Amino acid sequence: MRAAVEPPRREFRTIIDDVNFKALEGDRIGIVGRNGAGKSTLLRMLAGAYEPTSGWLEVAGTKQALLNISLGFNNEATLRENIYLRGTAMGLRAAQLMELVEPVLEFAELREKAGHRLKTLSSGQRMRLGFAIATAVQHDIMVMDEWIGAGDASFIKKAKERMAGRVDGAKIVVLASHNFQLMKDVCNKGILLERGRVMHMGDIHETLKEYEVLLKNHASADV
Amino acid sequence: MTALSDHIRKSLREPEFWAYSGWLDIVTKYRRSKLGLAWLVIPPLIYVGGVGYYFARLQGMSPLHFIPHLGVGYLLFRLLMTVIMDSANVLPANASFILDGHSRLTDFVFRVVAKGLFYFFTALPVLVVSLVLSPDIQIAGVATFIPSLFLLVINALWMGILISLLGARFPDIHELMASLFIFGFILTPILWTASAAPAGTIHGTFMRLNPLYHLIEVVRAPLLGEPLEMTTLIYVSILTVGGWLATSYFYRRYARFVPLWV
Repeated sequence: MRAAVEPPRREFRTIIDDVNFKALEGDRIGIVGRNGAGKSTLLRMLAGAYEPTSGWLEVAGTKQALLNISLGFNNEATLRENIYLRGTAMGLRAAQLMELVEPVLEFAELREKAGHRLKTLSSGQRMRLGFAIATAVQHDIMVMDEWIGAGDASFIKKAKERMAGRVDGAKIVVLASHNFQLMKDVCNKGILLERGRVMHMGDIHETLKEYEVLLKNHASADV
Repeated sequence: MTALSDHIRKSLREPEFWAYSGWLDIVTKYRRSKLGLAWLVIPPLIYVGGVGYYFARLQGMSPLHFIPHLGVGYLLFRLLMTVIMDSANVLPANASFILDGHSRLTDFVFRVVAKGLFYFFTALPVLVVSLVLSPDIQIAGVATFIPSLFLLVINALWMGILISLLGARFPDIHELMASLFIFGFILTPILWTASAAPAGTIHGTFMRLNPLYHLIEVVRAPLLGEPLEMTTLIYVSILTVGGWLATSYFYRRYARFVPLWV
């Protein structure tokens, strides 16, 4: 009964406040922070979805966001058609799309399923397809959220290799993750967010250390 | 600050996404059915031919006169209705694209309009047959068909964009439109003719408040030699200019909030 009379309230909240940074060519920025610190909001802002209510964002070069790699598909369409669909959504032109299909199917190891409907795929296969499409084209700037969810060990290894390749080709990478090893492998700079504000900014190793301290303080405060 | 004209120009220049996703929506919808894409033609055939014949007899009119009247009216009404109804939830339905930074919202409305037009044009052969058989067909009206249809689509486009913004903020819009269109169908001379509601009467005034009536009449009246009132021309001019001005204002002001709403 309660659900009927108490709908969730909509309110304006400041999620990200006073965040200033500049990313130059060669920067690999890792964003860390506790759940709800504002990492995804910041990434969506960088991706161009949310506009800041105050302040500004300036972008030079082509940009690809890999925030949501398995959404935006058409379940009733075949894999091949879905590759075209995601490709057009990423702003690719007709000629580029034709060249996209084979490499994507190849990478996702789904060549024999090309003419099947998307809904016949398992969640791991779906993730592989989404990942293969999203990383098929090299961009100057890549904005990524924690990207490897499902998938078997061999695919994860392959995905990591491709990411390393793409990340090396990209001029700027911004990545949010809880995976320390990944951060150390990929990033050279770090930003620690806490309640929407920058708590620390600098070298990735320092930032991760700060983050560990923050986590420890919270763990002890809870006891 | 996003200028609507800028987004529309870019959507037209890069049609890949909206054209392809609209096409996929259509083909996948009928993929599992036995008759497949024949379903694009069957409903208009039943509606225009069957309902048209029945209602002509019911009202004591000649089917050859009445079927083209109902056919043109119904297909244009369906076009406007699908564009507006689909626009009401098109942005939440494409939330995953929008949250990934696809901020050109006109693409999603174009997808809806393209789908509506595709349904319209596949049903056109049915209409052409009934028009050729019609004793009322006006050659001059055939010449104005393309520009007047263009005028109608231009209006459907701003309505779609405006409704998509409202629908992203208020899910109620979709429900409201569903109810309004049931009334709208009765209020528009499709199953009956406009001469049944002369100016000055209460029901005549009601009919003339209805934008769907004027938009359909602009296309249909010259085609079938029905009288076209001056009021309709003035109404449609004001609707087109006013609608686009209001929509560009709302788009510039509110498009940036859409990612927060969906």
